[in-house]
Amino acid sequence: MIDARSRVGQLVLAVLGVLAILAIPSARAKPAKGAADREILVMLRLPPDHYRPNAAYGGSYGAGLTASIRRRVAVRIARRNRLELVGNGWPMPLLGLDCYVMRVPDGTSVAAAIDRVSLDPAVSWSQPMQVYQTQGGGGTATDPLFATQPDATLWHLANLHRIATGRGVTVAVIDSKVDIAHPDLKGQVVASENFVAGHPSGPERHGTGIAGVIAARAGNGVGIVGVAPAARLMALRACWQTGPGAAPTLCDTLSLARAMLFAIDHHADIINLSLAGPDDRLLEKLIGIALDRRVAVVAAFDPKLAGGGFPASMRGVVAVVNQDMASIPAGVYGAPGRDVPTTQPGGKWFLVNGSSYAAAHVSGLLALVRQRHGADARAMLVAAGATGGAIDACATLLGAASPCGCACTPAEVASAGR
Amino acid sequence: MRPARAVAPARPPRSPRPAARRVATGLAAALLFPSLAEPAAAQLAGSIGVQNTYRLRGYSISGGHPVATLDLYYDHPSGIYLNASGLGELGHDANPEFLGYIVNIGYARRVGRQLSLDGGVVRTQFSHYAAGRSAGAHYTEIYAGLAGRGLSAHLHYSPDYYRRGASTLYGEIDGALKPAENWQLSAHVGLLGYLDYPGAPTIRYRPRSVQYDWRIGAARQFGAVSLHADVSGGGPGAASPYRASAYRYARHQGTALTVGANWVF
Repeated sequence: MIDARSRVGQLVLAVLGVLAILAIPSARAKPAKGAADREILVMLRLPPDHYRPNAAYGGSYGAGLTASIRRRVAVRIARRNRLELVGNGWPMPLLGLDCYVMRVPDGTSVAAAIDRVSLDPAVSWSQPMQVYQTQGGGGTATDPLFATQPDATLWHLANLHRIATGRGVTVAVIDSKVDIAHPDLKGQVVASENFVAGHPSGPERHGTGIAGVIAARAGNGVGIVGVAPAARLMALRACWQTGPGAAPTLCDTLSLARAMLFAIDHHADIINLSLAGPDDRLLEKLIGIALDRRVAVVAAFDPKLAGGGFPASMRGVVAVVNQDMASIPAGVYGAPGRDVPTTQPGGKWFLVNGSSYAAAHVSGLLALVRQRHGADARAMLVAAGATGGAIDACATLLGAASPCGCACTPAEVASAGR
Repeated sequence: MRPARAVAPARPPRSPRPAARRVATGLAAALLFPSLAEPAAAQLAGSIGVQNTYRLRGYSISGGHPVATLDLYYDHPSGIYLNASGLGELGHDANPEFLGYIVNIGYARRVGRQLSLDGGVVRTQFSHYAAGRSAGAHYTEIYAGLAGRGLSAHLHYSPDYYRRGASTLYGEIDGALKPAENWQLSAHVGLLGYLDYPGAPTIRYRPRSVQYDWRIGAARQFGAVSLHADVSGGGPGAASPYRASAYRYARHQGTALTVGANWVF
């Protein structure tokens, strides 16, 4: 009799479970259109992982339980600060923080909401969800493939490849979605991840173009040659194309931070950020960790933004602009960024322009330098000016003391490279 | 010439307040006034759960009957944490029965960006109902371990594992991974060894000197609610149903399925 009752109890529990699955909406509600403008990031302290005696066999559930507890704390913070919690948290043991997205209700200014929630004793800090824009003018559908790459003449690319091709170096391309099936990129991508929520997409122009400039395959009979054709890419989608043609490609703090963390965790040697936007505390911390770990971080310089925009403005980040710019600011490096043929989605090639692609050139060059000189590549860029200017790629790769500089003949390059 | 000034603004001297005292005050406040005590990023939460059975280290505590659990968790910014769990059986003789409680205090500290060390004391007490004897059953353990990147390993020492003078070492490894948003898979293995057992080898019913247990499970989170299903087991099986432990329902060992739901508040 008791056994029968027990089985009935188990059956009731199972039925309740199924009903709960059907009845409880998922916590990850799809954001309303335009709602991202009113989203902020709220950072909570992330307690160290520790033992929970009832977690293994009890109803509570180990790491999942810990996440539930932290989310419950976030719910309370949102409630008492009149915010709406969006989705689950994102724990970052690397920073000792747990990041939550919260939405500011209409009628309250985002800045005021950030000020208010930052004063909450349970909050480490809060910041706006920033928007970043890639720094490349897109090619159009009518642009023909231009056979001559600027770096072939300006940087003597063939000569550089006699010395190094980027073998053994991994470059993280934090950008829009890369077409990893493109014939010039096939086999070059070791990781392809999507960190963008709510903007599903196939391969996108900007990310595919950046990847091609850095590491398009050499000697495969089609398309272009990347600056570092033997380097391997992490294609980390943190940005999304907002429309066809010249529509901008955008990213936000959270997607960029997630991609940054992935790149750091998976030991990228170089991180390419062909984008610019406002200062950002979370991204600054993550880039700081990357720099501490001797990861080279390359960013596009946007002359329209104060200091060239973030992250180019951050100390330690290699800021790069199209070298055709009339006057290159001190501390900024110039690289080819005009009429650059590169890969585009669907197995195509187009001409592109912009500092995004200049930054990609430098990421590729640093991959060559890393192969030749190791992890101290950041300090080794050689340029026209003492603190920046147009990069002398040959001198950078060979070292400033090379007697031939960029006038190297193939024989001299080979000799200097030995 | 202007006189030099102190850079820092003058403030009244603060009364010295040792860190230990601040921690103790915070913990006491948290326990006595939970709604008021969430200062300086302390984290307090609780959960209520139901499941078809309650198993510990390969044995059923509830004899295969449904169980309700109440858990409280407190994490202080200093690294000190508290956990308390109460267990009640729901499905026996139509009367709820108190099974026991587990309380724990520990200290955790991050020692690397992905690694933390922790240690503490846990007291497990089962009621006379659960133990099948008037005195109930209990043990105290001290433990230390490592956790990080979804893996943890802990070593426990008990000087009185269900019996005065019965000392044990228990090692366990837990792993968890998130295959998709809101989903979690987990696994656990544990090994218990008796260092000493009073009366051995003359005592008739003594437990096996080495026992193991394991569990694999999956959980799905729906906001504050999570559903979970586990398969767990242990061994080696005992020749007598009551040999292996002090539980009334020790015969309910072996492989079993546990399903349940939890609500975190």
